[in-house]
Amino acid sequence: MTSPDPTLAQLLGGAPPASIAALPPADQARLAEIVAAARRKQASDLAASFEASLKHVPFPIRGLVKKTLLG
Amino acid sequence: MTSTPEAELEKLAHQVSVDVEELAFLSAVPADDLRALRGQISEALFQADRHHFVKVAALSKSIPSALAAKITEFALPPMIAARTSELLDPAKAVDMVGRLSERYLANVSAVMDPARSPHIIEQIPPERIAMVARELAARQEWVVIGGFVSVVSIDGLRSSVAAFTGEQLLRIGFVLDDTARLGEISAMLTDIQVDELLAAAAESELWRELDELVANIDEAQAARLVERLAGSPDEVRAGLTGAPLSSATTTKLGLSGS
Repeated sequence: MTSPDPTLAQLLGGAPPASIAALPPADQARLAEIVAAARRKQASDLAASFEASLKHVPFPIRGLVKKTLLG
Repeated sequence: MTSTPEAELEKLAHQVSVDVEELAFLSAVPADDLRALRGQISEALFQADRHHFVKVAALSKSIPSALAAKITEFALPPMIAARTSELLDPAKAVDMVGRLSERYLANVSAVMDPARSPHIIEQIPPERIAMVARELAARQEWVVIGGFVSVVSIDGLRSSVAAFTGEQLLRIGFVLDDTARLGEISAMLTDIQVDELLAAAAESELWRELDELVANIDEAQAARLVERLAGSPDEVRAGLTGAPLSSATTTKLGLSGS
């Protein structure tokens, strides 16, 4: 039986279900890359949309919103 | 009750924003494990950017709902709003839902994981649920709607079902998170919706969708399908007779040997 791919387990925050952990190493690595890509997409979507959205916030509350979103 | 591995793969593909063909290497994985994997990915995505969601939730909590809703719609990408809702007090979240536009709510719903916020969704008024359901159906967001159906209140479900066509219901039924609800949905269908779904199955070759529906309804509901099918146009009956449906479906619908 194949063991869980360490990168995949790390991305998932724990061991994947047994049938996933039993997949060939190449398939587990492929799944890890798909999950990593989803995380990268979420992060870049967040950054891009924060910046873009701020342009539409009314001026009086822009400072408050910017501080909240961007720290 | 979990849906088929094929339907679970569609949900997983939606979650990680890839075409379902890219997940073909997972086709032998059991549906329950695919569902568990989806839960793990959902939690991992939430934790990865949790600091953003916590900050936004803190802002929302500190100001009146009316202002929070205005800022949300002005400034927050739907994804952030969706994830932040998991951290809000349900009463506050439901109050805000009532103040957001239909379009924005649909955008939020499209990226939300309903299973993570059932306490909020079940409290949303049925008419609001139906409004968003219609908008999501217009966008053909079947996977999204299928996730919501598992957690909406019975009144919310009834309002939503009334808003869908038979074809839409057939497509949604295939990707339901909780296929046990197909029985409830079936009991809510009008004759027109039943006729529409039979016609859609025949016309668009929605065999797996029809299999899933028939597998999850009781004998009385199946008898109703048989009755409506008997009165349907020739092309619908001809389309279903000899179609590559499961043997269970052909038996239940009286199509075997006809």
